[in-house]
Amino acid sequence: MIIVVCVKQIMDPEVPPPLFRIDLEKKQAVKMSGVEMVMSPFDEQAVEAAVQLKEAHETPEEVSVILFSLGTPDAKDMLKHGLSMGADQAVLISSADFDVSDSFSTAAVLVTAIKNQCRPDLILTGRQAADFDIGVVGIGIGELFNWPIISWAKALSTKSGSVTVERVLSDGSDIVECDLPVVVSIANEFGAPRKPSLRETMKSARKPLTELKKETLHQDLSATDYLPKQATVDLFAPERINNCQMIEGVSPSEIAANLVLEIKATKLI
Amino acid sequence: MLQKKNILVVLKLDSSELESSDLEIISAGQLVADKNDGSIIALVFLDTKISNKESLSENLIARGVDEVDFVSKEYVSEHDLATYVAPVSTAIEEKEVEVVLFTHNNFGSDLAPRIAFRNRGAIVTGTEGIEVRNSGELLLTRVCFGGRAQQTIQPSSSLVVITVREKIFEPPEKNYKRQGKVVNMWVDQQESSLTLLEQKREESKGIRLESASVVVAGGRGVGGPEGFEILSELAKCLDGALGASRVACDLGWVPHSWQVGLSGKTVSPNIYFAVGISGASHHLAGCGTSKAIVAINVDKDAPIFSEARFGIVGEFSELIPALVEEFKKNPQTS
Repeated sequence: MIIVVCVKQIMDPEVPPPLFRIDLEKKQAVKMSGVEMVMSPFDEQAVEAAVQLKEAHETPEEVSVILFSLGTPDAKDMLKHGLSMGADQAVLISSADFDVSDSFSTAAVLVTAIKNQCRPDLILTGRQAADFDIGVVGIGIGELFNWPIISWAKALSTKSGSVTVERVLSDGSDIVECDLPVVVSIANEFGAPRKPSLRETMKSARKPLTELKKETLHQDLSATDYLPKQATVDLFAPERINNCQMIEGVSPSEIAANLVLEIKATKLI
Repeated sequence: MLQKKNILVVLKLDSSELESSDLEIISAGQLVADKNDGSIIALVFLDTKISNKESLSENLIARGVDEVDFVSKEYVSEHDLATYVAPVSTAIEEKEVEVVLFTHNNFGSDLAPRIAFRNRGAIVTGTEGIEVRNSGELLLTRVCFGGRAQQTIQPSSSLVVITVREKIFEPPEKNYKRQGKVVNMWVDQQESSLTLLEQKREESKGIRLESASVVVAGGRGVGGPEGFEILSELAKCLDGALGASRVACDLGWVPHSWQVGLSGKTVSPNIYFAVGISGASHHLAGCGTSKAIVAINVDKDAPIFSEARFGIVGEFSELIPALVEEFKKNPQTS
């Protein structure tokens, strides 16, 4: 069984406000010194899901977890992290080679690369990237493959030829089953991804990490509609103005009394 | 040069009541329709149990819809949104639709990308602002980077699919003099490749988070489920709902359905108590439109204080019971 996981490298989403800057010209986030590039946390959970499926399989050695990423050369480090978590192979497609400035083109190029390299049974993605928070590439990949798509998985399992997914809804969950091949996006309710052990990190150095050349995909892409359907015309970080009124007092009851007075004055309750 | 643009608003109704979010996307559609002289068509997936379609369509037309197309849910499978794709795509083709609007919720954020990709249109999710320039250009604004940055997008395709964040647009005014068309659409029975094995639903106790006028939310600083018991006293005396940050849900202290934030619910109450919540952007993305945030935290440098209207640096376990006592002295009516 082949499980593909699509992963994206982003700037650390937990970067503190003073280190978060936008380049207004280039319309992208600026990597300030001291800021790390990481695998998008939801994608990390998708890698975790894939590795768990491999470990739970009857014959784990027959399951291959392959990571695909569209990114810059430094994304290799992020892919190595995925290999250290237990993925078997990684493929990097250079984002500089293609106009992939929107979700449509990203999905189209990823699909072309996946089809060029393997025949997956299952494709996993994170529910959204923790930078642009758009959340459509996973579904787009499924549509372009013309496969069933199951979103927001909090739990999943496979048995021969099918996948069972518990998917998160705003008021509970549904458990559904579907024949492979399927695309599944992973929700943050899935659970924390593992931290790679030293052993796995050392093993990962010997795992294949391929950088796909533009020429490899050129012919396939020329027959595909993959160009972006939108452009970002502005990107900025609004300034945060601090207007908070701190409520004080010598005891909890005095503070509470002061707060209630202020709240009543707003007439909001 | 302005082109005629028809706008399709896709609704899935579970009852005969229209939700505020259903009305909000009609408002969003009007921003485009007004400039481009397009018609607003509501494609309404409706439960077979609902009988008063007439008052529903009257209500929709009064709010600005020009044509109401009803599709019975018996032709689709609610647990598999792939079954909704063909009916929506048919409507897009037959009605010369150029803009499709969904609410950014479980239904919209799953179905909208499928529609966009299937019909080769642009997709913009979590939209907060829509502008149509005199030249006919459409500009859409949304937040990104966990709520810290604002992005403006210009689609270049002839079909644009949009999901709209809740509680940003105001529902349209009612005008019962408006005229409109009502159609019952026939669709083929859609086959699903998913088998539904089980449905788990959380009992909705008390007030719904999304519509409460007071929300009391707890984060890591609340320390555990017992901390939420203390918060529930405050929620109860103010007729409010309980919410939580992602951390509190991931740690298993409270159900995931209580999560407020970018990957949780968006709430816009009159008062949002943020207790033991640091104020990370992805959380603020879910409560930032509250009329007033009251932050209670032991950390005076917590980012939440730069978003709050009122702040207290202190122990919630002492402050919340004191607040409950104080509010009980002067009973509030919401």
